Order: sequence, then C-alpha cells, then structure tokens
Amino acid sequence: MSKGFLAWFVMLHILAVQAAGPDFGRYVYDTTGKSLDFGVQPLAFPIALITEAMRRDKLLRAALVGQGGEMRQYPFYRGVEMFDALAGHQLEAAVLGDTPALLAAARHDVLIVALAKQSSSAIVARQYMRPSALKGRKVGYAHATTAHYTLLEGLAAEGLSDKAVTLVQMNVDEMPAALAAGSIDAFAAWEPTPTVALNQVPGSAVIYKGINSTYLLLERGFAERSPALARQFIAAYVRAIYWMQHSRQNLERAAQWALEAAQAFSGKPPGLTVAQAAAITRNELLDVAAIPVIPKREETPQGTLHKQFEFLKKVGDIDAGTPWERVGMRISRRPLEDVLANPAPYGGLHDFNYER
Amino acid sequence: MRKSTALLYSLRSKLFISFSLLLLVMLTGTHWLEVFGLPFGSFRGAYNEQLDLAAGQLNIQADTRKQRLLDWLGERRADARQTAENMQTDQAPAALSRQIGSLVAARQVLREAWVVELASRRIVVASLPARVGQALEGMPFVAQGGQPGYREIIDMIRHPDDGRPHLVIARQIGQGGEHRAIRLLLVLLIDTDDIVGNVLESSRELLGSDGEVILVGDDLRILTPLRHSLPDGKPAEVGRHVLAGRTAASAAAGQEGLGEDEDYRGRQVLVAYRHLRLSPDFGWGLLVKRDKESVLSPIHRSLEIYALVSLAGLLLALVATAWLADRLGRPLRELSRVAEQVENGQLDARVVVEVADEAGAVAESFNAMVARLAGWQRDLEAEVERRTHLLQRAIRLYATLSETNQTIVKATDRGQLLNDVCRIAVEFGKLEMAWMYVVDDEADTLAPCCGYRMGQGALDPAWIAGIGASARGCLPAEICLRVDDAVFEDRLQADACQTRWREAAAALGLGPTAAFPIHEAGRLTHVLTLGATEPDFFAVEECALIFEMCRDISYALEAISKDALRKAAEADALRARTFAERIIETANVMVVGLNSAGEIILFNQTAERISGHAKQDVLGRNWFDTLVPRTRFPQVWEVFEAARTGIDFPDTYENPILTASGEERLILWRNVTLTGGDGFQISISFGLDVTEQRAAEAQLRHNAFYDSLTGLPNRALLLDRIGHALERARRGSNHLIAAMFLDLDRFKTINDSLGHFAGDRLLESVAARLVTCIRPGDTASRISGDEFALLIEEMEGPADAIRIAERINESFQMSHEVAGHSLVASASIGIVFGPNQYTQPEEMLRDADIAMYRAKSAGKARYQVFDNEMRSLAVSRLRVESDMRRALERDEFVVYYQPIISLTLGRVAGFEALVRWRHPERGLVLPGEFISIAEDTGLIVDLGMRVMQLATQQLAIWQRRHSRMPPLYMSVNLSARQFQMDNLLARIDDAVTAAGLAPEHVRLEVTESVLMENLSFASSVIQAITQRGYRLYLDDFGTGYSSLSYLHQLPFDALKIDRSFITGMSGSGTAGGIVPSIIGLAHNLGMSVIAEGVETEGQLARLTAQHCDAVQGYYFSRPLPPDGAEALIDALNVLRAT
Repeated sequence: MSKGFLAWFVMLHILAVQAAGPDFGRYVYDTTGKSLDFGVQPLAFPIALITEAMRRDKLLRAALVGQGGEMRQYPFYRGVEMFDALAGHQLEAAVLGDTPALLAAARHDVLIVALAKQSSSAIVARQYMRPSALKGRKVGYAHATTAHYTLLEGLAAEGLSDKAVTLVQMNVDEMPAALAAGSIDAFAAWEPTPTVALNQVPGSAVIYKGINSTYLLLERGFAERSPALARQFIAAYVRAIYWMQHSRQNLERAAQWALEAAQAFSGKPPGLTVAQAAAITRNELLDVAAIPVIPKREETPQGTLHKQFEFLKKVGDIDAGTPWERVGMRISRRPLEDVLANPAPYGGLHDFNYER
Repeated sequence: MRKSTALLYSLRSKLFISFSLLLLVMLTGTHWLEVFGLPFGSFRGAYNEQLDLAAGQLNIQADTRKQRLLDWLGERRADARQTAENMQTDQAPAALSRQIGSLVAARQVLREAWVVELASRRIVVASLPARVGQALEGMPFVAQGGQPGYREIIDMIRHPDDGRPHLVIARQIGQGGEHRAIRLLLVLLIDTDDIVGNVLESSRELLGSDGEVILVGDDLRILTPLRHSLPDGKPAEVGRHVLAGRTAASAAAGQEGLGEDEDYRGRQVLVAYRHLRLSPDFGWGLLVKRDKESVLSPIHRSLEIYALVSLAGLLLALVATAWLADRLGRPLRELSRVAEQVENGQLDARVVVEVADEAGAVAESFNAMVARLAGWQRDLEAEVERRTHLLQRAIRLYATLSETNQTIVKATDRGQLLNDVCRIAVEFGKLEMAWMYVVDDEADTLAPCCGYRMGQGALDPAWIAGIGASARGCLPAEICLRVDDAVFEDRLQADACQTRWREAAAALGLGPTAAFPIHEAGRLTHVLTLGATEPDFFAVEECALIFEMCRDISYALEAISKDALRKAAEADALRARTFAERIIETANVMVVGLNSAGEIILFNQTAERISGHAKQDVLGRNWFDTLVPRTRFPQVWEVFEAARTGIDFPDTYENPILTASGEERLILWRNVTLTGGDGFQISISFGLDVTEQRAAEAQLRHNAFYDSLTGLPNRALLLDRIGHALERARRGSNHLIAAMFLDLDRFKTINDSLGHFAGDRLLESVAARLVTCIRPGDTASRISGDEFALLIEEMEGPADAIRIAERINESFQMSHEVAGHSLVASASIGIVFGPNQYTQPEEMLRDADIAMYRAKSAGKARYQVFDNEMRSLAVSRLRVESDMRRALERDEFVVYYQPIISLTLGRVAGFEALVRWRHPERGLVLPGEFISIAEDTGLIVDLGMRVMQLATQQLAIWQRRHSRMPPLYMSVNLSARQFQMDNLLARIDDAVTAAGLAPEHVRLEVTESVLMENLSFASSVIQAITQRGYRLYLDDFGTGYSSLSYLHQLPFDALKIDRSFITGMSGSGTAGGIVPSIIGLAHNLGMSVIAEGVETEGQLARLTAQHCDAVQGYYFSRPLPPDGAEALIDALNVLRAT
C-alpha cells in the first residue's frame, strides 16, 4: 500500500468518523436530582487520571449513596461537545480546557471552581521545521479548543494567520495517524496526543508550545442547590490529586486506569505507555505548585485565561461586546477554599480509599 | 564619431556582444538557480538546511537545559518536601534548627534555610542564627503560605542582605497537610548565580563560540549574567536588566518554540525559547541562542568561493568570445573595405581572395559584379549626354508653360495676357519671335494685336502687320485660320506659297515657324505664331507642350470673360441687396431673420427701436435666449419648429418679445421662410408692435363687462354669470344661488352735497367693502349709480346669503373716509334665491330689486328676502305706475282744496292744494295709494307740477272772483324729488306766471325729511325760493327731526304742526304741552303757526287760546273740489261779513 493511498484512506476514515460522530445526544442524564452527572474527557491527559481515580473513590461513592444517588461519568472528545448538556442543566460537573471553559462561562450558567492542570498544547510537525515553514501546509486541529488557540498563537508568533495554512478539523486521537499517513503536515493538540505522535511518527517534532490550563466546572444551580454535595465532589477531586502525589504506585495505577478508559472510549489503543502517561501527569499536574488552586494571575490581563478570552472575542466565538466580568464572576474559589480549609466533613483529603 | 559608431555596429562587435550576453544569461540563470532557485542542492537549500540544523541543535540544547533545570529544581523541591514532612509543628526550635542546618550543609547550593511562623510572619528558625526573629514583610510567598491549598510555593525574592535575586522554595509544615494544623513554613533560598553555575553553564561548548543561554524571570529581568556587553559597552546587571525581544516575551509568557529575533546587541540570532513553569503564578523563560551570521558562515564562505570561480570563468569566456568574433569577421571586413572603394567610384578596385570558403566565393562574385558595373557606366554616360540636350529644351518649354500659367493665374486683362504670353514664349522658350493675331469673325480675317522679339522687346501691331507682306495669304497664321488647326511651316509641302513665306521668314532671321489656334468657348479667336532659330525646334514633345500652353491661354481668356460677367452680375446683386437692405432697415416694422439654429441673422432699425437691443449686440445670439420671455418660450418654440419643418407654419401670429429694459411688447408677426441653395432654412419675420392696440382692445373688452369706476363687473357680466350659475344649478347641483340687489340709502344727498368726486370715492369705497363681505367665488357688481348687485353661488342654504347681507350691513355701519369727510352709507338689500322658477338672469335681478325696494321702504339699512307676494305688489305698483302715466296723459289727476283758517283774521286765508286721482274705474283715489309710487318712479315731478299748475290757476280764478277780499293764498306741497329738480324754481315760476299770480300768494310746503336729506342744498334752494317772493312753510313739524338748528337758519314763514300733536291735545299725554311750546318757539323765531288736523271745537279753542295763527282740519272742512271750495269761501266770508 503506497503512502499516498494510506493518506487518502486515513482522511476518508476521519471524514467518515466525523460525519457519523458519537451521538452525545443519546446520553441519558439523571432527572431525579439525586445523582451527579459528570462530563469527562478520557482522551485528555492527565485529567483522565483524576476522573478515573474519582470514579473509584469509595469515599465519594459512600457520600453520594448516603444521599440516595451516585456519580455518573459521560465521556466526550472535546469540551465543546458538553455544551448542549450544560445548557440543559443536565451535567452537574465537567472538566474543560481553558478555551471551552471560557465559552461555557460566557454562554452557560456554570462556575469555575478548580484548576485541573497547567500544561501546554503543542504544534507537532512531521519533521522538524521552523513554524514559519507551515505556510501553505495542511494542519490538523480541533475547533474552539485550547489547541486551536495555541495553533493561532504559534502562527502569529511567526507573523502568519490561519489563512496562511490549510486547516483540517479532526478529533485529537486521529491526529497522529493522519500525520503518519501524510494527510496533514502538522497538528495542534494537547497531551497525550503530542507524545503519542512523537512515539508513532519517526522524525516528528514539537515546533511550538503554548501554555494552557484545564478547569473543573460545576453547574451553578447544582452548587447552590446542593452545596454539601458539591463540596464532597470537590474534595474527591483534590483527594485524587493528593493520592497520586502520595506515591508513584498510585500514579501509575491511575495512569493504567486512564489508558484503559481511553481505549474503551475511542476503540483503539491510546499509543501511550503507563510511564509516559505518568510523566505527563507529573509534569502538568502533580508538580505544579499549589494545584488545584486557581491562580489570581489568571484574572489579570497578563493571565492566560484573560488573553484567551480576548482571543475568543477577536475570532467571534464570544460576542465582541461581552465584558471580562461576565467570565470573571464565574470563577468561584469559595467551595475549594472551604474544602481545603476544613476537609473533614467531606471525607478528608489525605485519607484514601480507592477501588483496586 | 561615425567610425566609433561603425565599430560598435560591426559584425565583430555584434558577435562579441551576442556571445557575451548569452554567456551572462546562462551564468546568471545558473547562479540564480544555484543560490535562490533550487530548494535542494543549491545554496538556498544549504541555507535552509544549515538553519534547520542549527535550530535543531538549539532545540536540543534548550530542551536539555530545561529538563536539567527542572530536574535540578525537582531535587530541591524534593529536599523541601522531605524536610517539611519530617518536621513537626510542635517540634522544638533547636530540633528544627538542626534539621535545616543539616540540609544546608548537605546541599551547598542552598544559601539559607528558614522556618517561618505564619501567624507572626517572622523567622523562628534559620540556618544563620542572626536571621532568627527577623520579620518577613513585603514577601508575598509568606502570605500565600498561610492560605489553604498552598502546600508548596515557588517564588523569587531579593536577598535581605545583598539584594541579589534568589529562588524561594517554601513548604507548609504540618500533619498531613491539614490546613488547620499548619502554622509554620519551611523556606529554602537559592542564589540564581548558583543555578547558572550548576545547571546552565555546563555543556556550553556545544553552543559554539557565539552561543549563549539566558534565563529571565516573568518580568523579563535577566537572572543570569549575559555573555556580552550591552551596546554601550557596559555589562548587564543581573536582576535588573530587562531583556527585550519577541522570543524572550514569548518564553516568559509560557510559550515555547524557535524563532529568529534580534538580541540585546542588535544582532540577528536564532533562538530556541522555553518556559519553566515553577508555579501557577510564576515561571522563567529560558533562551538558547546563536548568532545567525555565525550559523550561516560556512554557507557564506562557499558562496564567496563560488562567486570568485564564476567571475574567473566569465572573464575567460569573454576573451575567447572576442578572439572568435574577430576571426569570423575578417573576410567581411575586407569585402566591406573594397565595397567602400567601389562606392567612391573606384570601379577598378578588387577583393584579394585568400581563402576558398564561403567568404572567398562571395569575394569572386563581388569582383565580377564590379567589372560589369564599369561597362554599364560608360554606356550610360553617352545616353545621358544626348538626353540632357533634349531635356534642357523641354525644361525651357516647361518653364515657358509654368510662367504662362502663373501669368494666367494673375491675369485680369486680355491684352496684357496676350502680351505676356508672347514675351514669355521668347524669354523662357528661347524663341526668336512670338506674335498674336485676333480673328475678326465677321470678316474672317486676322488683325495683329501684340508680339515680342528677342532683343527687340514688345512689337508694335503695325510692325507686325508688315510681317510677310510679300507672302500675304501664305502666312502660317492665315493657314491656321483657314484650317482651324496648328500649322508647322517646316512640315508643309514646298509649294509656291510656302516658298514665299519661307523667304519672308528668312528675311526676319527666323528658322522654323508655327501657328497655333487659340479658342474661346469653342470658337477660334486668336492665332499665336512662333518663330525659332533652332532647326527641328517643333518636335512632337515640344508641340505637345505648346498645345497645352494654348489650351491654358484659351482657358484664361474664357476665365477672364466669365470673371467679367460674374463681376457684372455681382455688382447687380450687390445693388439689389443694398436696395433690399435699405428697405429692410428703413421699414417701419420689425424685420428679424433667424437661421435654423434660432440665431439672429437679421435685425433692422425698427427692431432695434422696439426691442431696445442694438443690432451688434443681438446678431449671432439665440433668439430665444435674447428676446423671448421665459413664460412664452413653449409657444414661440412651437412656431419656430413649424417654420423649420414647414408643417402648420402660421402666416401670422402674435407673441411678445422681451425688450432690453425687461418690458414685454406684443408683436404681430408675419412670417416667411426661405431656403438657401444649400437647403439651409432661414425664417424672416415681420413684426408690428400691437402692444398699445391690444391693450386698448382689452380695455374695451374690460369696459364692456366691468364698471370703470369701481372695477367691479357690470350689469351685463353679472347677468351672464347669473345665467351660468342658473345653468349649473339646473344641471344637477344641489346648491342654491342667490342674487342680492343693494341700493345705497341717501347716496344722492351725499352726491349733491359733497359733489360727484366725493360720490365716486364713496362708491369705490363701498365696492371695496362689498368685496370683503363676499366669498371668493361670489360676484359683486355695480349695476348703476348707487346700485350694486351680488351673486352668491354654491350655498348650503339661505342662511349663507342672510349671513352675507348681515355682514354687509354690519360693515356699512363703519364710516368711509372720503375726501376729508367721514361718511356712513347704509344700504338696503333685496335677496332672491334660485334657481327655483328662474330661467332668465334678468328675472332674478328684477326680483332682488323688488325685495330691495321693500327693504328700503321698510326703513332702509336692512335686507329683505323676496317672496311671491312682493312680486304681486310690484306688479301692482307697476300697474299703478302705468295707470299714473296714463292718468297724467289723460289729465285724470284733480286738485282738492282744504281751507286754512286764520284765527287772527277769522276767515279763510288760503287753501292747501291736495291731489286726488279720479280713476276711471276705481273712482276717486286718495294720495296714500299712489304718492309713494309716484315718488319712487319720479312721476311725482310731473304730478307735482301739474298740481302746481292747477292750484295756481284755481287761485287766480278765486282771486279774480273775490277781488274785494284780501287775497287768498295757495299752499302747495313740494316732494323730495321735486326739491332735487334743477329747474324747480323755473317751473314754479312758469306756473305762477302763467296763472298771473304774484309769488307772495303762493306757499310752498316742504317736510323736514326733505331738508334733512341734504341740508346745504336745501338751504340754497330755500334761499332762492324766498328771494323770489314765495313763502315757505315747514310741513308736518314734530314728526321728524324737529331740529331747532335749521329752524333758526332757514327763512321759514310758518310751521305746520302735525295733526298727531293736535289730536293728542285732547288727552292727558305730552302733546298738550308740546303744542304751546312749538307755537311759542315759532313766534320767537318770527314764524307763524298753522295747526293741521283740527277736528273739534275744543281743539280750536285751545289753539286759539295758545295764540296759534291758523288752523285747518275737518272741523272746518275736508278737502273740497274747486266748486266746493269756492262755495266754502263764499259761505265763510259771508258768515264773517254778517
């Protein structure tokens, strides 16, 4: 099979998948108000490690069962795919990258309560090249994601706009194969996709990186209606981080869970080893000081969140007349501070009990 | 210059330049492809490969250093975590001190370690004992350390002692990280210099001599010393110098990549930039850079060598090209040299052939060609000599022909032309002699006219006549006349005639001779004879030229003749035109000519006078722009278009022009159009100024329908409008119309007293006021005198007309300021509504008039609506009027006499004449039934005078019969109409005189109302009456104004107290007191008093007691016919006598 034919085959496959697409509208959410519906991204690392650990947190499960409910996780490829459920108040919680988090905060009734990771999205090329060499080439991307912002930021650093390249929209898990097949010359994505591509495509290289973050969001009605339950949930979230920080074994166990979940969701091996997943998690999550506290800097014009907000207004994804305060008021530190200051009512942060 | 140019364009130069250019293009293309074009295997490819290689190396170096830095920091963070986890918050300071002491000792990179109490923000344990107790103010990490969630803090501070930048790694000390148990913070301080020394400086050699690693904080201040000085020569201060550049900013902001930038020295560098996120709030930028020039230096060196080799190759190629070009061009240069000699006339020059190639073959061909050219040259020279002679002769003849033609062009005189022809033939044609004969048509003979001879000049015709006298009849000219063709003496057969002429010609020194006919309009008119000295002069070519010359002379003679005729015709046309122009200029009508564009081409004096425009100002200007009023433009344009197209063009029409002063003058135009020979249309218009005439006509029309005084429509126009209104109303309109007849009250009095001027002004004022009282669609008209009429149309109902009538009456209550007088003129108005039964406008106006009379009789200053009863009354009045007229004719009026008894004398003093109508059908009719009609119709004048005649005649009879009695008098009433008669006194005088009475026996009675209508006029009449001797009585005193003023002013002889006062004397009313007052007043004014209507004895007694002078009434007698009155005279006088 020639390389050109392979490229066409991969492209057709991508288009077919996009045309068919996962039907997230078929998800059945809880309507009793007792369960907690949680939107997750199995293909986003290291967030997947946290959500998989939370799925197995017996303390959280016990707290929810005590109130007659449970936590249900709903997997998505991208954060923007959760917007319909957020708009319908069907998801009580979600983990979103900074770009979708800003869109959600601008459009829906949500609260940004904790930092989930601080890392970078990267532009990966089939071979090493200066970013200016992308001019006229095909670049894979996922629209309205953190990586989309990174791509445009990287092009702008070299004096280029998105018009200078041919943008090809695709899911992030398809990007390494497309790069290997030559149907795209580069792509922009968040971890673990860059690492996967570097593993799978010989000669591929990261040519640009941009900083970004991921956040934990709560549906505001849920946070106000069930403050204790919301804090139980946040405590489980912090506890998962502390648990992974506690030992390398914990970290690798969580990585193993996340890789299994990714394969189950996408139907194909994630292309990542446990060690690589653990390294990503350590670099982007566990070694980030003071995580999951949301830095004050993000709310200033120098903050990444603020800069991305201006970017989204510029490209028209957020109405140009929207003030920052509309998003700023969605950042709610109080629930996390309550949990950190007094974790005992919520099962504590250093007592761990996870399923094996 | 030419030589250098030739050299430049030589074959050798062209070959050299062409080869050189080809070489340059090839080399340049190759060089361009090598340096810029090919992506691989070229300098451009090598350039990119070198940059990518260096970039890759920089990336590796940057990643390596970043990872090394992160690892190193990870170790320090692990130190802090382990130490903090081993510490207990309730441990003794000494124990804590030992722990940090051992840590600092084990890790030399740590400059200091502290344990800080979060509550007090003071150092409680320190690796340097002197630091214990020191407060940490202004250090954010201490505040953060007290907040939940901040288990570890990484930050930068300036060292408290030397201010150098230090990295801080802080860690909460507490049981399991539970926030409530946290009160201490472990702090490790690391000098950034040590970071450089331990982490970044290693492996520098991998970066080369120009490579550099720079660490910057998130505020872009450098944390490591720079390798080079700043542009000002000073070293950059660590911790203070801020690094500029895009890549540094990107790295500090969290971005990573590789780019080209300008470094702190201003050099272009290749930079791999990385970000080290140390905490969510804080990170470092790591820059690994190399000079771009240094990276590309191998490429640049290769490029220089390549350029040198290329240049050397180029020079060698140019030299070889020059040698080759010279070698190839040598045979051609030899050929060129010999060709140049041949060109210069050296036909013996030959090319030396050295080679046997193509150049040698060309040289041989060239030599053969030159040899053949030399033979041709010789033949040509002989032929040229022969033809030159012929050519010179032809040139002379051509010169002759040319000169002749020039003379012809200028010629205006036939004689001069012929003289010049002869002269030119001799002077330019090199002939010996030329002479000309004129053909006499009638005699068919020749007469010499002019000639010219070489050396002799112009010939006398008489001398010419002698030429060939011995050969008369054989002259070439004579033969030419006979045969009407050219005659060449040398071509004639040698007969006797020819011999004679030959001898004669030889005597004149002439060789061959020839005669040429000259025609005018196909008729032979002249013969030109030419004599040459050169044999065979008249060759075919020369003759052809002479024939052409003769044709030209013929044409010239014809042209001169035609020109003379044309000039004569032009003179005639000019005279005719001058005459026509004089007629046009002096015509008493406007004469204007327009061309098809509407431009003025003719404008005579009358047009100037009427329009006020000078001719020179309007000629050439557009008629419509200059003289047509804007408002009339379309109509005039229509006429002009008709003139241009000839369709519906009116012979006459009227249109105004706009004069220079802006006035419009109405012109009656009569038009003609002329078509020029070229089809060009012009329009000539004759205009008569009819402005005044039309204005007069319009005024006449206006006068026919409008009142000249008030400007209102007159009766005719009003009737017309009423007729139209009736027509419209009958056609279906639901609206009513109304006619209003309006008559001013007492206008005659005003007219008589203040004069007609004032009366006219009053009428004008009344008319103006009437117009203000009606609506815009209504009509106000003046019928006659003080009579006006109104037409009110489209009324909703009768109330509309009533409102207008009331408005008029209200308006008329205001005075008119007329001729210095303030006059109030009331009006009586009659109103009639239509259409109803009306078919004729006169009927409506008639009925309005009837209603007006009713209003006037009802008391004036009011209106009355017409009804049918009025018409009946009017008809009745009309019948009465008619009967009265007939009665006057039939003398049906009789006079009854009522005696006036003098109480002082106790007898009949006189009679009052009272008229009665003895109607043939109705019997005796009392005055109440007809006097008012007689007043209105004016019959009262005739009737009054009839009464005057009858009464004075009767008085005269009585005076004669009773001559012994004191004379009786006769009292006769004068009506207001009579009083206004101009000849009143004359007619009274006539009657009195006719009766034979003295004026003092006649009493004239007038009422107060008669006086009040025009007091001043009445005064003058009364004065005249009294001056004639008539006595004047004031009748019906007390019923009117009873003005004491005029009683005092006017010379009344007596007052007659109205019967109403006398009747009232019997009651308890005021009349009983008034009568004595009147009597007393009259007596005081010197007047006597007569009481009317005395019917009872008591009245008589009281009047007598009140010293009333006389009485009359039924008590004594009712009015009696003459015989009854006479009987009464007799009876009373008898009674008195007894």
